[in-house]
Amino acid sequence: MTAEPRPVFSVRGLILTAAVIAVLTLLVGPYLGEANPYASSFHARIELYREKLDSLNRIRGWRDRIYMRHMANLEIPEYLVSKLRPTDTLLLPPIEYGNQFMATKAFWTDPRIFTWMVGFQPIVAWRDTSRRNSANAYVVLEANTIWITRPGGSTNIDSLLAVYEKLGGGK
Amino acid sequence: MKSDALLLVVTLLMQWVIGLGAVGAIGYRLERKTLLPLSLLLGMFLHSLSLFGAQLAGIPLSLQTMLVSGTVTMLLPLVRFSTVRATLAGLFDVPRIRPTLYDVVIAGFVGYVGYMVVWASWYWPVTPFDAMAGIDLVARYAAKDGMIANQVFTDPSVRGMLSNQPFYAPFAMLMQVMMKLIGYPYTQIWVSIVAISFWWFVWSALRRVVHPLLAGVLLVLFVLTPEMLGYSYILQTDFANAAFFSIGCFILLRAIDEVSLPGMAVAALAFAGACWSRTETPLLVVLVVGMCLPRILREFGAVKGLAGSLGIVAASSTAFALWNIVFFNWYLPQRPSTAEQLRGFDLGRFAEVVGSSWTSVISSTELWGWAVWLFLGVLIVDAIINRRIAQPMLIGMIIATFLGLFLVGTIFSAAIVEQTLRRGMFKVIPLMIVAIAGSGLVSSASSTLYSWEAGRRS
Repeated sequence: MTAEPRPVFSVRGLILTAAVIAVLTLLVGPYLGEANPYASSFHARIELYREKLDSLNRIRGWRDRIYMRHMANLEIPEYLVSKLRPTDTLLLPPIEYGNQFMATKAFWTDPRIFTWMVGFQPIVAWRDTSRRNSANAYVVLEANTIWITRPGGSTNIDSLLAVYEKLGGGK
Repeated sequence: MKSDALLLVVTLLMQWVIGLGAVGAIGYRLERKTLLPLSLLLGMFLHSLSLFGAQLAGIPLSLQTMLVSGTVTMLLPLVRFSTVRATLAGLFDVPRIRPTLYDVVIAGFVGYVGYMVVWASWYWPVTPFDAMAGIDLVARYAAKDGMIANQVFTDPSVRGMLSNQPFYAPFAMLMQVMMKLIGYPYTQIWVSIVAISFWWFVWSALRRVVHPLLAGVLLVLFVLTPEMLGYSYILQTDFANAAFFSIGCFILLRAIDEVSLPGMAVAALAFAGACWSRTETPLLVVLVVGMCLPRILREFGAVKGLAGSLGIVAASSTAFALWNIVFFNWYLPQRPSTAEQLRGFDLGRFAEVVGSSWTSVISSTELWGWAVWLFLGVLIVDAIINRRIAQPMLIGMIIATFLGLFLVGTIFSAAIVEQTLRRGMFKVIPLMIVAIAGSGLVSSASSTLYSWEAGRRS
C-alpha cells in the first residue's frame, strides 16, 4: 500500500487523536483488569522506575546499584572474601543449602556468579567433584549468621559435608 | 560531556556509518526510515565482527583496537565509492515530515518508553543469571586481559563449571566488551539502542503496509509485549538475535517482491548477524530460506535464485563457523559440550515439545500480550471472509521459524521450552505483528481510515 497524503490538522484527525489517547490509556491503565496483560507489565517494567527515577538517580555508585539488584548474592561473596586467609581454598556449598537461608535463590554458590561478584578467588564449586577434596575452608549458614569453618574448628566438617551431600546430592 | 559518554556517541556513530556504508556498497536502495535503523544494527554486527577479526589476528582487545577496527570497517565500503554514493543519494535531503496530532501522541508515548528503556539499561547492572555466568563474565575478563580466550576459560575455579552460557552469544559478549573498553564497566546500554533501532525498523515495516494510526497502535502493542519489554534493557542475546532474524525475514520478503539480488545480500547480512548472535539460528535460516526457495526460483530464475539462496545460507554458516568452529578449535582452550547435548530426532518428543510450547509459552497472553491471538484471529477471519491468506510468504516464515524452534527443543537437551523456546518466540512476534498489519482485514480498515480521514467516500 502506498501512503496517501493526510490532512495535518482536521476535526477527523482530532477524533482519531482522542481515539489513540483512549487506546493508550486503556492499554497501560488498570481499567481492563486482569484481561489486560500490558498494564501490569508496563507498570512493573517502566512506571515503577519512572516513579523512583529521582531517588534512584541519587544512588550513583556501581556497588550500590549492584547491591540493589543482587542483595545477599553480592553481600555473601564480599563477606566471605573478606574472611578468607591466604592459604584457604573455599568450598562453595550447593545452591540448595544456600536457598534454605535466603529469600531469593542463592546464586552466589555458583562459582561463575561468585567470580562475577568479587573476581577470581581460591574457590571450589560443590559440583566440581574432581577438585572438591582440595578445599580446606567451608561455608556455614544459619539464620542471620554466616561464617567460614576450617578443620579443627568448632564445626564438625564431616557433618557439614553430609548436610551438603544430602541437600545438593553427590554432584 | 564526560569522555566515556563522548566515546559511546563516537562508537555508535561509527557503527551507524559502517552499516550505511555496507548497505551502500551492496547497492540496495531503501527509504530513509528503513535504512537508518537497519544500518545501525548492521553496523553493530559488522563492528563486532571486525573486533573479533582483530583478535583472531592476534591483536589484543583495547580501546585503540576497537576504534581502529571500526574505522577500517567504516572505510572498506569506499572501495565501491560510486555505488555507495549512488545508493545513499538523498540520505541528507531535508526530510518532509507532516505529522498529524495522533502521530505526535504515538511518537511521544514510544519516545517515553524508549527514554525509560535507555535509562534502565544505563542504570542497572547486568541481572540475568545466564548473562552474569556467561556473556558478561567473559566480556569483563576479555576487556581486562585483552583477549577473549581469557582466564574465565583457564582458571580452575570456574573452568570445569562453564556450562554453555559463555559459548553461544559472541555478538552480545563483544558488545559488552566494547562498552567496558569505552569505560562503562557494568552497563548494558547498547541493548536499549538495539531495541529502539528494532522498534524503528518494525514501525517502518508497518508503515509500508498500513495507515499510520494502525501502524502506531500495532507498534505500541509490539513495544509493550510483556516478555519482550524487559529484555529491551536487560542483557541477553535473544532480543538482538530476534532483531537480526526478523530484519532478515522482512528484507528477504522485500527482495523477493522487488526481485532484487542486492536486497538478498542485505538479508544475508542480517541473517549472518542473527547467526552471530545465537548459535542455533542457522537451522532457522535454512528453514526460512528453504520455505521461500520455490518463490525465489520462480522470481529470480534458477541460477540467480539458487545463488542468492545459497549466498544467504553461506553468510549465515560463515558467521556461525567463525565462532563455533574456527575460534573454538584454534583459539579457545576449552570447548562447550554441544555435541553431547545433541539427541536424535524423536517424533514423540517433538510432539511433546510442540504441545508444551503451545500450552506454556505460545498461547500465553501474560508473555505476548494479545499478539498471538490477534494474529490467529485475523488469519481465521481472513480465511473465512476473503477466502485467502494475505502475505502467504510471511505466514510461511512464521511457520518455518516455529518448526525450527520445535526442532531445537527436540534435538538439544539443553533447550528448555519455558526458557529457550520462550525467548525464541522473540523472533516470531515481530513477524506476527507485521502479518496482522498486512492481513486483508486490517488492510481494509486501513483503506477505510484513509478515506474517512480525508473526508472521501470509501
